[in-house]
Amino acid sequence: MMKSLNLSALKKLEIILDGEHREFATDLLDRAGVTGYTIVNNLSGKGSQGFHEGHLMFNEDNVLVMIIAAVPEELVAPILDGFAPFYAAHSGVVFVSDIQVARLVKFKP
Amino acid sequence: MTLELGDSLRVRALVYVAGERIPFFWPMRGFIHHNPLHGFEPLPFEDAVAEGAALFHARVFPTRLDRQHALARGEVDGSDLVARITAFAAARPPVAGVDLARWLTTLARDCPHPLLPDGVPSAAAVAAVLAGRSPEVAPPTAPAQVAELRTRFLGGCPPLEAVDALYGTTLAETLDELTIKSCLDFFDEGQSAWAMPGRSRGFYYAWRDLARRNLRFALRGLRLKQVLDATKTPEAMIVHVMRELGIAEADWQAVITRELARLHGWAGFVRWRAQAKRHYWAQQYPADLVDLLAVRLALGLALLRQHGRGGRIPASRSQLAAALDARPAEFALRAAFHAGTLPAALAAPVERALARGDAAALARLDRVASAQRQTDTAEAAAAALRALAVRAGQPGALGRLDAGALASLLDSVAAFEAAEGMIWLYAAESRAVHRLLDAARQDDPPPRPKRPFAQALFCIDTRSERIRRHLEAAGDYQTFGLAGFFGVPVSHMALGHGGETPLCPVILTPKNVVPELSLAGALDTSALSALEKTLHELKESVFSPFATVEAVGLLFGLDMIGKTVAPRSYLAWRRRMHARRDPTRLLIDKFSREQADSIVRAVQRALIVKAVRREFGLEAERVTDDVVRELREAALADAREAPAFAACARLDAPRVARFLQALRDDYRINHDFANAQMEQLGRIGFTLDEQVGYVGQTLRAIGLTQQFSRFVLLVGHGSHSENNPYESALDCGACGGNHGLVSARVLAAMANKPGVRRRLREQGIDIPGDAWFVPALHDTTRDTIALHDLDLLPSSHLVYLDRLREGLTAASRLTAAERLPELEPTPAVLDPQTAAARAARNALDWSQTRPEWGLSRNAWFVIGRRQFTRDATLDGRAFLHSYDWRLDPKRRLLETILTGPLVVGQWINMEHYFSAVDNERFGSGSKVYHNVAGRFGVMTGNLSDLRTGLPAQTVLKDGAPYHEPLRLVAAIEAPFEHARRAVEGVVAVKRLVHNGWVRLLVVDPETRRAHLYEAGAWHTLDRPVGAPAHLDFKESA
Repeated sequence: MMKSLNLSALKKLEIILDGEHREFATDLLDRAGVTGYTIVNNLSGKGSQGFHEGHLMFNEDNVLVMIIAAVPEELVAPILDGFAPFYAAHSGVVFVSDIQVARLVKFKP
Repeated sequence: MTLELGDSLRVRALVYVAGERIPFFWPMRGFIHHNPLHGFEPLPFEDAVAEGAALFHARVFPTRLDRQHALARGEVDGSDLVARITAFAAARPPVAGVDLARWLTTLARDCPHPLLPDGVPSAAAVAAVLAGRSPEVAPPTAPAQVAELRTRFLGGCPPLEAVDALYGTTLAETLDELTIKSCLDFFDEGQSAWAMPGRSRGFYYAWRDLARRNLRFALRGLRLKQVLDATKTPEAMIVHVMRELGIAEADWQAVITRELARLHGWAGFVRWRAQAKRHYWAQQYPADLVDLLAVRLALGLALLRQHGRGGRIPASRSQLAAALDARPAEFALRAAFHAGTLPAALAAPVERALARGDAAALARLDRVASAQRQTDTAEAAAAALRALAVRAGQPGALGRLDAGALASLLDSVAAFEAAEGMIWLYAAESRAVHRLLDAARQDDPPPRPKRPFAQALFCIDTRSERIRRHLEAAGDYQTFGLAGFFGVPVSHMALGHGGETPLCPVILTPKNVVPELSLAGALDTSALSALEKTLHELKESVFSPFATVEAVGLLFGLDMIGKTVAPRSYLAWRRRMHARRDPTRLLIDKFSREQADSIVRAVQRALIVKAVRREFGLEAERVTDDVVRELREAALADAREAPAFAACARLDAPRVARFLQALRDDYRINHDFANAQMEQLGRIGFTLDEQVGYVGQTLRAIGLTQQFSRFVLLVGHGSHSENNPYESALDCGACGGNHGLVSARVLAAMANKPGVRRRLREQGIDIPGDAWFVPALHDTTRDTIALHDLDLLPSSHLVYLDRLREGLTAASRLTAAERLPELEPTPAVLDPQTAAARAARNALDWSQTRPEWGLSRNAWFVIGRRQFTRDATLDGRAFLHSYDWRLDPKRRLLETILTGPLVVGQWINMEHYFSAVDNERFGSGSKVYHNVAGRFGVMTGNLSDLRTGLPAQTVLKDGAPYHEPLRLVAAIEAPFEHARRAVEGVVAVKRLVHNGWVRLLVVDPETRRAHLYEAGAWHTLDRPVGAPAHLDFKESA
């Protein structure tokens, strides 16, 4: 009866990078076997480079995007490994956090 | 060998980052201007060009001689040049008895060639030569030699290049050739008669399968199979080769960048293609840089092993490193011998000693060669210094210098020659800055008592500047400038094209699709059968009742049907379509949910009729609407029965069930696919909100919010030439390298809609009922402006049409008269009519390699009111973007202009800069030797790298730069603080300005002062705006 409340532990990745690298990041996630992700475009915020505007009308390359993915724990290390050379050369950040997910079947590769 | 997931992903990221230095290569049909050093833009310009020069073995500044000619033509600010050289000299240690500033100025202005082309010789040696003695030379030391050899041939040096340089082989060239052939096989877009098998599996896998059995490789003696069998995936192959060659992981990225840079055209094409998700061929036959690199490295390893079999050539980097350490003299000689830099007399003895492996002889020869080289450079430097001293008017000065002072002088000369490119550049830009400020004006425009007869919105393209000027002079016309996609990013499906073309700058991806529909009625049957053939092959034999080629393409995710499968009948039909010029309409409105639903249902019904005929031979008339409805519902409901159909086709239950399954699987009558189709249909058109938003945004951006004329022309532009693979480079960059008419038609259709105007009125933009937006096309090869969609023009406007056409014709002829002399071998004054006739002839001349100069000589990007440069004759060299700061208190419009149009302008500018400065490396050389490769690029001769950049005919004249290589001088007319905050408020723009990729000038209309950003700070210029400053370099220099 309470089946829908069975929660499973997963890790959430929040990957922030310049819009021009979006395809690179999603391709990497696809190849890691991540089954889905959410993309938030046009982020505003402040980082080491200064303030980033989120509302550039006619330029999608130079706005920050965030890619949010829920992955099983064993994928976290390989994905971070994969992003390492990228972040050695570019600004941006990856947040990793513990989350609970209700529909686990959606997140299994 | 297999890789862990993390390792495999890391290799991918490493290749991605290493590949970022390689500029994108867009297929020729949509030529996109870009900065060939775009990958270096995070660096300051000066550092970036130094690194770019090393990576691409290219020049990054014009030669001194070219700059001297520019100075003589008045294109360089002579007083600025002298001031900069003087400042440079003042920062160097003084040399007693030498007026350093004078010497360096003389060197720059009067000596055609560099004084120290081969580095700084020893001062003692030069002193000896100056004193008439033979120089004492220092014997080479092993540690210094080892260090130099290691830097040159290890580290980031591709292993085959090192072997070639030291053993005189041509392995890297052979590798390039093999890589190009592999690319041509895989990337062919229907040009070649033979198609590589298995391409849908991706570049590396398809190539690997073929290469393992390939006779071509076996015949060359390559044991490729052995290499390929070591691992399976491209990532693992990269790791395998790097390890086999003993390349330290810290060096991988540098080696990869240099491997890719050897064929940067192909690498840039693969880079572009991998991220072009909508590109038909990329969807069918995927490939990325990891594939390309794996192919290249595998071939390279096989080549190296083949040549290393005799043990003559080191098989790995560790072997090479050991050899360099042990025998530096030998390797220094090898490098010099194979580079052809040994003194002629030594070549034969060195060759013999190398063949014998005679260590003692090699050591002796190395000392001799080194001594000879030192003597030669010292003598050359001494002679050049003597000449310089005479020219600088201090002939006796050299004789009085001691060794320390001479060393200091040589150091200063070398430092100057390293810095000289930037000094000249600044001085040339200073000239451009002052020319603009001389011509600009700061008064407010006089108020207009009544609205102008007509208004015309032009693209910011430099070629609009002339025709705008002439149109304004021809009568009561007001003109504006904005990016030629008119602010509406559209994915266009041209009639009969079958695919989408993004019409906007490449930094945007359009979200709305606008199909073009014919008003002429049914499609030609040959088009339909061509389409049917295509779809048949894809198991989707259908043409929809929503019967356009583009709609089917959209609904079934087929891109570029016409281009790819290219049946002759289809192409012929397209040409006929084109020739007939039937009126067409653009579908700019969204479908309602019901409309979209009924389209999908209609497609499903048509599919079912088709399926029944194909599977059971039942003709359409026997399949009633009821039967079709039953089948459709049964298929969608996952049912296994369809009694009415079973009766009509006389089928038993299992066959009906099988057929229903086939409808779901093969004919895609299922909910998922229907949803996907609905989603696709949802991309068509714009909502009313979006239309209001785009029209309002565009009008506000240029400051046109009142006094609308009876005619508001939206003038897109395009080029017209025959037999020119580079035609697209001459089209509108803001429309993704296409002509701008469609974007003009889209905005006009929106702006003429009563519903849109009603909403705009509520927002304070009141377009009167008698104002009509008319799309038009500016043909930049013929200087003509043609009006379009005139069938929609209200009859009330017809009486004014003649006057409008007369104005346009006058402007067009005067523009031709101004422009044509620049295309003639010997410039002469032409009367407007003759000029117009010659321009028309150029457009049709099949052998014309230079139909127009395009954007060549672009120099300025002006953001401001028309009044600001209204009287200025800017020779078609300025991008003009309308902007009125008074309408933009929050600076949003300015930020949009800076991040969009200015960025595109900067790419165009840098493309011209580098193509002009080194046409062989950054440009594409002469068009005369071009061959079209694989339908997307050109090669020089039969086999070469894909040529990138602009052809010589676009940027050079008689072998010298015609385009003046300057960084774009962007001028904003706005209060300084307002402009500064917009520039510094957005990271992307701030980086471009601070790193010196554009020169930014702010002209403050309130204080009437000009501010220029340079060397990390804003400087207020000490000169008036409008009145020419005193700048005659001949007097001041």
